[in-house]
Amino acid sequence: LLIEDDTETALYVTEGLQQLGHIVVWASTGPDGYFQASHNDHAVIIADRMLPGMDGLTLVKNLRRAGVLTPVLFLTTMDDLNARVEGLEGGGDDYLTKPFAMAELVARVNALTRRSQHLATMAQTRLVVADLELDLLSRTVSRAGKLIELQAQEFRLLEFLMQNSGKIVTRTMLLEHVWDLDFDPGTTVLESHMSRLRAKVDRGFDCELIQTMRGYGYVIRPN
Amino acid sequence: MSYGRIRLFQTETFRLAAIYVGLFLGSMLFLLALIYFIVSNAFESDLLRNSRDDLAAIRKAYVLGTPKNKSLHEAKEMIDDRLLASDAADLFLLQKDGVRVAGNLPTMAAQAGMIRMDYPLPSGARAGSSGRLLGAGELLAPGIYAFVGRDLYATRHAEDRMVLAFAAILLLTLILSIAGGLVLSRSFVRRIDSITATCRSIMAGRLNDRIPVRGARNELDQLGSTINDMLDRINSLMEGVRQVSNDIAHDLGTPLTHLRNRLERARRDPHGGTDAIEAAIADCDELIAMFAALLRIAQIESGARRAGMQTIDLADVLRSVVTLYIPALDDAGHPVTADIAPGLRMLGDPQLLFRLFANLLDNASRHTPRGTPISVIASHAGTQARVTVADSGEGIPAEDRELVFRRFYRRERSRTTPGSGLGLALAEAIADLHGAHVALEDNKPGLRVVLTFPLTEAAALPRAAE
Repeated sequence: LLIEDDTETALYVTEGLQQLGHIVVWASTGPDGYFQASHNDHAVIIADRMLPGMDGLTLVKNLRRAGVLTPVLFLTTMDDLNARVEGLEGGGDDYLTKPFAMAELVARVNALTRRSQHLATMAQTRLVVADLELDLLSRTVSRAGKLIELQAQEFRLLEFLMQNSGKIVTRTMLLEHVWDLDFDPGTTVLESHMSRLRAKVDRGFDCELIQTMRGYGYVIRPN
Repeated sequence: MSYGRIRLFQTETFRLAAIYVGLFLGSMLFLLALIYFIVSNAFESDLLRNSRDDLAAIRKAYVLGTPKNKSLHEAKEMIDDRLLASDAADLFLLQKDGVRVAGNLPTMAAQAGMIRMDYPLPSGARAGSSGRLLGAGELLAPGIYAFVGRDLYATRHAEDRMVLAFAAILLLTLILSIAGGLVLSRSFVRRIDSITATCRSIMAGRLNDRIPVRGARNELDQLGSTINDMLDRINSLMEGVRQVSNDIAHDLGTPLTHLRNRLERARRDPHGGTDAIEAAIADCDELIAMFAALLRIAQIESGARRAGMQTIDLADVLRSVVTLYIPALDDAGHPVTADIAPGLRMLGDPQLLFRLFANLLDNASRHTPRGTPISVIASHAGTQARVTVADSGEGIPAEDRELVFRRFYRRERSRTTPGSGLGLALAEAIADLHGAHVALEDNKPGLRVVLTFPLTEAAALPRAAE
């Protein structure tokens, strides 16, 4: 479900998601969006913060109060200062600043749909991708039975990648989730962390699990 | 000048002067009345005392008179002696059973104590038929009454002269005050007029006009120089805004031209021009990032982020920035040393502070050659935290140090390295928001950025518990 009053953005999002096989329902006002969200089941709600009739934040707060647990991705403008904190506190699950790249949106929607599908199994303590295993309790990582020493940041990085295994994780998603950053600290910063992680996880093994999607982000998956 | 001269009597100064004069005259009137009252009282009590002295002398003569039947005679003789020697102001009466025995007053009711009354003047004295006297009477024996008084004419005369003198003083004061008020108002109005005229002229577009200051340290000069300082500040801000819009036009123009060229090339490319489109999208992202940075600076400068401040440990922020950057700096061949004192508690926005130091580290790595060491040092300095981010690269010459904080400013040799020229401007805006002072110093060699943050009070002392 897409709740967005700007036709241009709405068409852009709809086309992008439809190409990937998603079904998009578009509501252009707050009350309309609320009606759709509370009467039909959706995998993900993408809501603009500024909507005619009822703003996005109020809409989501009302939905949560009404017991609708569909994951919500907020769209915000650049000049909205506290968008992130407010959005997440108000019941949103993720946020994205306009303008955004389609790849970014897709990656986030995928992460959210996956999260909603696996809501029941979220309490898992082991993440496994091929022969790579990550134990959340003992905070250890091993590949093919061999223990891998990781620093705290590298561990969080790998944990986030593995939680979204098979899905592309964008640079900004990593920066937000692993370092809680709301800005891009420059190209080399993340790459350097990633290359260290890859050196530890993939070096000496035949198949590279962590792959770079140039211009978008990274993905971890068994080949 | 379209602005008319204020009429003198309508001026605020004149009004104030008038109030002042009124108050002054009022208090003077009160004071003079008090003096009048005290002096005339003193005159009268003097007269009364003299009268009582005389009366006592008469009583003494009467009581001590021997033999007893000559008592009245003694008193009479005494009064007669006094009347012979005295001036006209002394008044006596001695009467027995309502008949005058001696004195120069007609008989009266035998009343003891102080008496103030009119009396008929003896013929040949001053004009008018009656005078006023003040005196004291006493019954010396049953039926025998003595009275001594003094004519009040002289006193009255002195009092009248006193009143006249007082009136003259008041009048003179009034005239002087009004004249003074007028002079004061005129000079004040003239100064105010000159300030008004300057303001009008600035409003009319002559932005470099300034209010004339005489150099005396009075409040009008202070007002004038304060307004002048304010105008200078406004001018420099406007200059800044003009500079920024020029820079935006110039610095955003270049990437937009690149973008356009790439899109043209993509259109001409028979294979669809995917690479050119990719590059164009990258250009767009760069532009968006630039706008976002500009917007962020504006927001920070407007103080809108201040609401989100909380007590944080600057050391935590610094440590996480350094940990984030170490791999990248390492890859770029910059050895990093960090010496961060714990417990730097201050009021701040951790996200923004993170960004501030991230920008500084990013700058240090981008503008120094490979292999240049970078150090981050944080320490307590009294009630402040002193954070130094230093490199030993080429540094920035002293004359350029102010300029690098300007939006879009990039030193000539940096034009070839990527960057928007907004990093330090953003860093400075964040530092300002946190009340921090930023100084660029010579690290001999290299650049040293020194930031001093005010700590929250409890944190000024090292935490003993840890």
